[in-house]
Amino acid sequence: MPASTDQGLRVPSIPVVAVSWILSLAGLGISTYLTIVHFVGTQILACAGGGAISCEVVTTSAQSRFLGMPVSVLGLSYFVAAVALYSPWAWWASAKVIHLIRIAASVIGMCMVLWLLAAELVIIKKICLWCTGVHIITFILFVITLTTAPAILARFSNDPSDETLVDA
Amino acid sequence: MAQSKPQSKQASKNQSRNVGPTKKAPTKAGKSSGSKLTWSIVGGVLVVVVALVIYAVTSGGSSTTTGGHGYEAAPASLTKQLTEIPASVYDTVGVTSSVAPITAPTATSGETPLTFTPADGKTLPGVFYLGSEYCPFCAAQRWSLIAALSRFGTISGLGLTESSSKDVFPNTPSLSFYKATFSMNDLAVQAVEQYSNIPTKDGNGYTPLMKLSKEQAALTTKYDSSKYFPSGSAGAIPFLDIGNQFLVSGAMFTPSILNSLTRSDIASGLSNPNNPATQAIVAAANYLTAALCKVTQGQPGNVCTSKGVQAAATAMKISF
Repeated sequence: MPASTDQGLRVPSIPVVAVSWILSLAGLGISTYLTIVHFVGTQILACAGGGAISCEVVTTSAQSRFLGMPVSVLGLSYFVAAVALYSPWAWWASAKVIHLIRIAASVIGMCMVLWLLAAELVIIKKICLWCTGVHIITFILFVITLTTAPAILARFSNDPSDETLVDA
Repeated sequence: MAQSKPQSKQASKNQSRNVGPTKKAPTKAGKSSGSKLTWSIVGGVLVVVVALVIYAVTSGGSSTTTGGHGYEAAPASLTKQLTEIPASVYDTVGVTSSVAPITAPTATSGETPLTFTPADGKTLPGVFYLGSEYCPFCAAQRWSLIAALSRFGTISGLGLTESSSKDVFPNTPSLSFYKATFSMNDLAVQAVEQYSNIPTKDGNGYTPLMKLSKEQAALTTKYDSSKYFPSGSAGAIPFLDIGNQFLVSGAMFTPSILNSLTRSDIASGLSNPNNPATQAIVAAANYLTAALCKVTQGQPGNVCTSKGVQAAATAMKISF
């Protein structure tokens, strides 16, 4: 077995894989809750308020929609994909495209978080704690994805056949 | 056969490696530059986040809180959409709503005209509004009232609010008259938001916002009564007195039309006469405008002679 393939199977390490998957599941939980709030109403929103914190104001603001779509629904879609992309099976998948999709999704997710953070801090001037939780999760996933990307992509540059990673 | 298959697979694998172009493992320098790039991107993101936080802190952060009430000024863009509804929308909608009936103001007869004398000393026909932020019917009514009043002058200081989450039609989005000021040539407006939408500690009511003056309380007692309204709606809020000549008790349309929408949805839809929420708001606003035109004796002319207002006047059987 080539050394590079052997290393590739262990990149990223099991703790990193576990953390990223747990974070994705947590993100899915929060975004599901925010989506339910969006459609049912903010009366079910459990969020400490006061001063600069108001989940209610943020989740009902004009910026709670992006290109006509509720941001909560976009977040839910993102984390549904994230749960799959950060699962152990996806991390260790032999198909390069899965890893490229994870990197692309992570970058898009991070860009979206920066926009939403700017909307909260500059336009709405309120912070939503639930949204902040989602933002932090997205940021950590972004860091994990980017820091592991070179090693993961190296697996493929060292091995011309994706399938060899599985067969080996 | 059992032995030949793995051999064949290995041979194939080896062949694949031999035929393909020679790949080199990433060099230390390559890894280092990739790592640098990665952390540069992460650092860049952190710099943007820190810059946003610094901006938010140095630019004043959240809106101010006064007297325990989280007043938040309505964004100019939102106010503009509501106070500058295109004339063509008013004219197209008239008094017709495809989704809900619109109740016209109740006309009085033989009452002494209501007048107010603002600080500038000029006595003008008076308009008095009484509502509360927790009240979903007030939340619905304010959209139309603000639209109608803005055709006569300027309203400043509108705040963001929504009805109570514990009442019927919970969280109906609206704008608040708390801290609002009115500047009009032909009308003097007094608006009172008696209670906020913040429950009291004992849970039996809402924290007070503004107090009624003796004169305002007397107006409410006299006109928001069973003399003019069925016993079920007498004494209800919102209460609106237009020059003692027209009265409204309760909302002119059901808040359910707005209940599932955001403020932004409602405001952005106001340029579309086919939008159901727009139809309700604008039809009610045309009725209110007609009543206001009656007390201003047809001023301003371009508003009072417009097609939408004339349609309302015809429906109310009034002229000016």
